[in-house]
Amino acid sequence: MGYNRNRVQSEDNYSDRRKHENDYRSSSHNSNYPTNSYSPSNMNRQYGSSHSRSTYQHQHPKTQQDSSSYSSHYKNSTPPYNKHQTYRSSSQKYFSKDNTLIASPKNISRTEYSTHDSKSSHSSTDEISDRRAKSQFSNSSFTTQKTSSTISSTKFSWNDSYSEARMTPIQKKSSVVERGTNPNNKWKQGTKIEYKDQDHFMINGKYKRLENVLQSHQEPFRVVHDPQLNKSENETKRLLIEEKDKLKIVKKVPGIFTKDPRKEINLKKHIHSSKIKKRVNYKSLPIPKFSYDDNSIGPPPPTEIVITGISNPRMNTTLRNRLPEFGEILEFESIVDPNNGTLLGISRAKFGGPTLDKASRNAKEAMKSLDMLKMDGYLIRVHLNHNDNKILEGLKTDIITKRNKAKLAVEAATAVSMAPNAPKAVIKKIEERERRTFKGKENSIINDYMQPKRDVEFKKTGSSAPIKSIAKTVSVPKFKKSLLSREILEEYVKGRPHVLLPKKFQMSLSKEAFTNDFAHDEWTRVKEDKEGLVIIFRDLQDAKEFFNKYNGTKHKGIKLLLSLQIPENYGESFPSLDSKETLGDTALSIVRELELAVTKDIIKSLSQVILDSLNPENYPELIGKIKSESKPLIQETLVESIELPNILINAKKPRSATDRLDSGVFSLTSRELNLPSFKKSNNNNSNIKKRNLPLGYSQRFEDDLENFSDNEAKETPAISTELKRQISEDLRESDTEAEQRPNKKARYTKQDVMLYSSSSEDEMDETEAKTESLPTTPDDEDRMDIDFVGKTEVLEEKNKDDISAVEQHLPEVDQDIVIDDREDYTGFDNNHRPTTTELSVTVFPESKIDTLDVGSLQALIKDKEDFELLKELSTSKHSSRLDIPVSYWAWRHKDKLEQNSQSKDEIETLLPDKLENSTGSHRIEGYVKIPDSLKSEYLAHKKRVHDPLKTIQGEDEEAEAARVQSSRVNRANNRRFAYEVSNFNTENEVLTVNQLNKRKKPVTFARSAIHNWGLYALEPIAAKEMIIEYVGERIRQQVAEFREKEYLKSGIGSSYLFRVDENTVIDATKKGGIARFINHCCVPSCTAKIIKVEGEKRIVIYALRDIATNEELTYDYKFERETNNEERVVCLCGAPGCKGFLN
Amino acid sequence: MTTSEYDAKSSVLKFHFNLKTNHSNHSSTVEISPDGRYIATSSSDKTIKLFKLSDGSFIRSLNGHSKGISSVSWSPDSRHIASASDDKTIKIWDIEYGECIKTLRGHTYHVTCVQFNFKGNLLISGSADEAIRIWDVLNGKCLKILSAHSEPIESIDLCWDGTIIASGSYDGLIRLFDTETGQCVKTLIYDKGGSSFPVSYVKFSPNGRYLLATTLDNTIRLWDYNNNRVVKTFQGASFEKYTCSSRFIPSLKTPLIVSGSESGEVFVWNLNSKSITDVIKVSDSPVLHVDIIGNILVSLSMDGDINVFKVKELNEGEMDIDQ
Repeated sequence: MGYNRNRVQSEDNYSDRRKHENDYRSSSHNSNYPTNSYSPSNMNRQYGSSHSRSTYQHQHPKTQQDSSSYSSHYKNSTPPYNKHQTYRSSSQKYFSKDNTLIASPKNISRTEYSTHDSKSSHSSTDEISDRRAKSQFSNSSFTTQKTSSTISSTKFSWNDSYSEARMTPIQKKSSVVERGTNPNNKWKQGTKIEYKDQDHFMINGKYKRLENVLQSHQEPFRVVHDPQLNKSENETKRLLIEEKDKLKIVKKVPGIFTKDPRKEINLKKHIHSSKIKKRVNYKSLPIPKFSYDDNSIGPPPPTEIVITGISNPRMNTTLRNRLPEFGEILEFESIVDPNNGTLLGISRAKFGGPTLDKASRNAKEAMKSLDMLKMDGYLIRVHLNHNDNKILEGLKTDIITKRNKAKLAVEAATAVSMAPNAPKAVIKKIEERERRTFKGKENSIINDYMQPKRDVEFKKTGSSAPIKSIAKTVSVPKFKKSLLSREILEEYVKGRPHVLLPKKFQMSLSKEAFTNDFAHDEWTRVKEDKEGLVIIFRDLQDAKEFFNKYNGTKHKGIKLLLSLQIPENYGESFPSLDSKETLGDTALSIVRELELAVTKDIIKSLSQVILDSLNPENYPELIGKIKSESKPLIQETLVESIELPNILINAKKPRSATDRLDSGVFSLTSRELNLPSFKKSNNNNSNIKKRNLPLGYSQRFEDDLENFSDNEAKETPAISTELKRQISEDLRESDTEAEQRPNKKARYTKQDVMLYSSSSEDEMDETEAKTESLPTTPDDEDRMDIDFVGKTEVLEEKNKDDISAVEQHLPEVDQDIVIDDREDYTGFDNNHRPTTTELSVTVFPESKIDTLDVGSLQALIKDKEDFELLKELSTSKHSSRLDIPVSYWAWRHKDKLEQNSQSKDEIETLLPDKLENSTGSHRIEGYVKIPDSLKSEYLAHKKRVHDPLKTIQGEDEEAEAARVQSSRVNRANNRRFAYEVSNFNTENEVLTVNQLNKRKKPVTFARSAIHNWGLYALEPIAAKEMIIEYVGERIRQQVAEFREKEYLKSGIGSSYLFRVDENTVIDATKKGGIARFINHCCVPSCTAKIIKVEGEKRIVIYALRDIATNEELTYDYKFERETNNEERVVCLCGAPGCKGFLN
Repeated sequence: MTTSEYDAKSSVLKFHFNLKTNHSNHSSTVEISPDGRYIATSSSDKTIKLFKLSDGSFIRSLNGHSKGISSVSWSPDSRHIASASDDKTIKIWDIEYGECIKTLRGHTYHVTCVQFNFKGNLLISGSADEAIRIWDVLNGKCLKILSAHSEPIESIDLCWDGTIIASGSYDGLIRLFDTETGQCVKTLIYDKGGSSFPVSYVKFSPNGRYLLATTLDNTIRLWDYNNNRVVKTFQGASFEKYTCSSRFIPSLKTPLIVSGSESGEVFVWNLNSKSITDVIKVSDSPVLHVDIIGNILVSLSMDGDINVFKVKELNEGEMDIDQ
């Protein structure tokens, strides 16, 4: 589109043409130039039309004339003209549809042609057009050839209607045979001449070369210059045309006579085809339009539009769907508030297209049509995104500031529920809000909130992402108002961030279930409330993590739609407060952090001192005393006697904490010190282990215990997470430095914290007991007990035959007690942490060996330490020498064992003789057809074993437990799914949901004992339950009959046609569901029923009785009794009561 | 051994030497070791015999099965052989020591064919009990059982990277399985309305895109299994009862396939033109197995005769391959 660039920048293509023009112009300049130009000759017209079509519009007068001169090759001497011509306005006449020029007798009446002169002198447009029209084909039915691609390729335009401008040389399209003056003219009237290409013409359907044509013509003219052939730029030769009559020779004119052809436009008009617009006469120079490309300066044309006023995501979707009608959409984005992720009601759409200009035009169109549009009652505005996105940014900031103002105006925390996409959540939110208003709580707030109606609505659906937009859905709530009852709030929540799982969605998730399932997550308390399940967290971070992790996810069939509730003015980063307040707050938090840091330092430095002071070497008497007494007593006294200085711990520490800390700090077990220890038998169930915690944690995470002041509770959340992490890291570091321990990953879990902190009964049951190996880890610890590891004993009796003996053996405190300065056991995985049980527990479950062989010994060794011990053992004692390499011996040994065990299980069954190959091997036997009856000998599934032979089986596969979902959950899920699908199909039916599929039971096909393949139940099915729908092609009765015959002919013995009613049959032979695999049985387990779903009759299979897992489903085919005895199909069901035949 | 009606000089196969295996009973398979040094033959006399390929000298015999052996397969390291026997077991032998190092039990009927995968860690076996089993070689444990046929499985093959298992069975189906999951990904039936003939042998092309299937209607078909069509059909040889193996000859400019036949002849076809390039009669009993490595072709007839040929390029002037 746009200006013919070639005019501005010369191109090779163009230069020729230009020359052409020049030629023409110059030649035409001779106004006396005979009527050639207006002879009804080909070129003129041709060019005229072609040019017009190709929009060489501005040039036209001249060129046309010129072309006419060019075309003079093909015509005879000039006929006389009339000055006045009848004007034919309808250009149809001149160009037929197929645009072939047909010379007809009517055509040329020379009298009709005006002179060239008169052409140039007239300036009225009308006349020009007249003349042009006249000149060309006044009465004639000349037609020009339809502009071929070349013509179209020469399009360029002054206006937008033509999209491209590409210069190609002028090309003759087709010629007209102007008959007439030359009696020698071979061509008769009515000769069709078509221009094919540069050298060829089609005359009457035959290809003829240009030269030949000309030659054969013996016309009084010759081609002197063919601009197409002589395309050199530098050519200065000019047309030399001789005219017989006029003897006008156009002399070589060196100069280029340039006249602005655009001016000529007003003078002449030429005929366009009706398809082309009438050219506009310009009074002034038309403004060129340049297509945007690499060389253009300035910004690219805007291809983006910004839509504002979108109040809900639904509008967004509708908009999104509407946009493609304007053009290809490259991007569509809903703008989101960067601070909190809510949708701003602005969307940005980027258009694409074959060219940038086209895209820009599309954008403009879209803008024009969509601006000021009322959609869903809301006014939307559309702007083009100029200025490097400035408009967008501007709009964005506008809305954001507006919003912020609104928010600030709303003082109290408002609840914006965080439920994700599901529309139910949206509804729920709305309900909540309504409920709240009802309850009369925070009325004022609500009102305020409600006022900017659109905003609120928008916020309501704030975080739910429209289906197709790119909006980010994470929205962080600022203020919330909890729905929970006051009591709960006061007693339990205590101003902590919590997550509410509303009652509606709670379904089967009881508190216990929750604690079990989410045991690994870092929540503090969970409380069941009439509002739902309240999960309380220590701090915002945890709450957020939990929320983000689980919100919207499905847990055991329950979709968790949580709502994150943060109490007002909750610590961190919200800038909504007064600056003074913030200063104060920050100061406070800094102070707190400093406190922590200081305490940490103190701990570090002091601990060393304390440890030294507690070094057993300094207390020989004490040690002696301890040794002589039994263990439990010792431990207690020890514990009591050593008190931790209180400066290390906050004064208000609960007893439990102190105790634990004591033991933590003063862990009296150490590997290097060979302290005796208890070994414990595995009590997996009863023991509740409480972990020891590092000091820092105990300080930080006291909440429920009444011992703690509110201050402390408040303190804790304020600590930035970074600092926390830092502190814990530091502690960990100090630990690892303190000793050489094998690397154990720190896995400090919140659960531990919780365990630690709450001594209330609620949380007791949430802990899990874990076992630890006593002998191996020195940090085994117990709240009340101190373990003593009897190293020597253990080492010697590593052979676990004697383990039991050791267990009963009382430990001897024979070593010094060294205080381990480790406080933090986060460095060790769960197995190795100190236990708080009565008796110590082994790290790995103990295994007893029956036989002392390689395998079992290998199985005994669980970790590095065991291995070391074993090594020592084995080297110390007598070792036999093997002649063969050890590895081989070991492998042999094992293998033998294995084989022995195997052979015990398997008894090699000999196949009956008739199954054996007489020739010795299967290959040699060749192809033998084994009848089915014999097959049962070796085929498992043929024997009607209860387990069907699965198509793919893994050896020793454990049966996969079917996922049992409560039917209520199922139905809810199904409803939701159906709803979402229907949402997805906004206009057209993109997806269809087969309702009956939802009720399908898990069944599978597998090899069957009855016949080839059958359908098996994967889980127990109760009687009268729907199992599956018999799906297939729905065909008419007649079609079914026809098909039946076809199938029989083609060898498909089985019939999969199922009658629905008198006129319809379901055919599952080639297309269908797996219900087609259900076999017949005379004593069936299922039956078929016809039910109507969505107005359609469907066949569904119901269970007649209870069906067990892996049982084959069967039902009665109910074939008609066949009279012809040969046609009866034998029944292979094998059931007692089998009728023997299918029909 | 005579070459019938085809010019000797146009023949692709050049006889090298003959070897008598001296099996006491019929022999079923001959396989060349991947390193090209040995050939192993299996027989109904419950033994596997090893020979040197270069000169045909006998090395040893492996005993241990209680019934005849239908098929053997070499492991890629050429140190082990797996044998499928009628005693429902598969035995893995160590060549150097000549001992059976593992016995794989699990099939409930005759094991008809075995294949190692190219890595040597898996062993695929097909059996007359209509199941294909995938075994872990190191443990000897069966990893998967694929029961997807309704008749004995006669032949299995793995594509070059081991991801697809092709199985041909007497029920006329050629099924392609994904090794990893065991799912049947395709079933190829050549069924033009009639019943499908038992498939006796399947072999992947070296590039893994085509499958050569021998069916007991005297034809060998080249399937383009990705597009589910038969691209070439080779006829002329007779297969009606026995499983005669076939191979691709990739070492030449013009691709050829070679197969044994029940008439005791070794057939060579031009792959593209489907014309028979060579027919060499090697014995009177069916040629049950052919194997090729590089340019050495080995054929085994049921009576225990091994014939070793050298494959040579067709020269320009020779009878060619009409295109």
